[in-house]
Amino acid sequence: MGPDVTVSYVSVTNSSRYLAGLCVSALGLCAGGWLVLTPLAFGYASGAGGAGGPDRGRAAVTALATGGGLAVVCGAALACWAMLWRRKLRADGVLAARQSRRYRRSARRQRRAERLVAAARQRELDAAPDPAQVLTDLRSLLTPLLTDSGVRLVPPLAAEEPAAEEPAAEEPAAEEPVQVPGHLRDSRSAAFFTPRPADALPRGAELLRVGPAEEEAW
Amino acid sequence: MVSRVAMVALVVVFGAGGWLIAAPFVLRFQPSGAHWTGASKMDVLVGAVLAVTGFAGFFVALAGRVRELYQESRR
Repeated sequence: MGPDVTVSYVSVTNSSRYLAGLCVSALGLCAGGWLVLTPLAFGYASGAGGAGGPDRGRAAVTALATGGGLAVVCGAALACWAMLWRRKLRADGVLAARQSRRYRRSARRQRRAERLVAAARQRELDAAPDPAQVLTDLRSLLTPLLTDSGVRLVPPLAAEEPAAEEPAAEEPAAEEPVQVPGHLRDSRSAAFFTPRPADALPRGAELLRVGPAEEEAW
Repeated sequence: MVSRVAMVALVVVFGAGGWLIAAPFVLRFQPSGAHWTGASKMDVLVGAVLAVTGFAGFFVALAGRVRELYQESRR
């Protein structure tokens, strides 16, 4: 019987105002609906005929008008009291603090974007083909096309070796310096240091062999 | 603003009850001295209930508001 009882007593006494307003509003709403339905239920909605005559018509109009207005007012009062009570509970910390509309919209957009990204990632993973399978399929598609046109897509390894009847003249001579790709054929190149046969040129003629830089100097 | 609207609605409920009690005599569809019709009985009964509850509800709400003001002034 400690502080919990005190807190509940305080919360009840603080909320009695809102409870009273809600109860009265709900009762007024029910009474308004009842007043609207009463002329129809008891048969005095049309007051032209019958024993009462115009008096019953006036009673019906009064009940309908008062009931309709009361229902509208009490509906609005019900909403107001509910809003006030929720505001009070939120101020007391019983209900969670209300987030702003902008924050809720931003959070909703963020969640939607995350869902879209997750779905796109999943779809990409599902649809990603196996590269080896792609290459195999591509080869099976291209091979008939290239064999029909006489082009070999990948030559066999045995055909890469030079044929025996090919002339040996195409092979570079053993004595000739081999031009290494990327090297210059002048005094700065590696070919400058390769041994040359002495009788390949007449004596003194090698002196006339100049590099491109020297020709430009002349 | 909302609090004022809610309080005014309680006053309107009380006023509607009073109007329903008085309507049969004001609009003269209940002649004085004659036997009461069903419509008159219904109006007076519903009006009395609305007037009592509206009156009580208004003052309970007003008392609660005054209590809140006292609590706020003590802080």
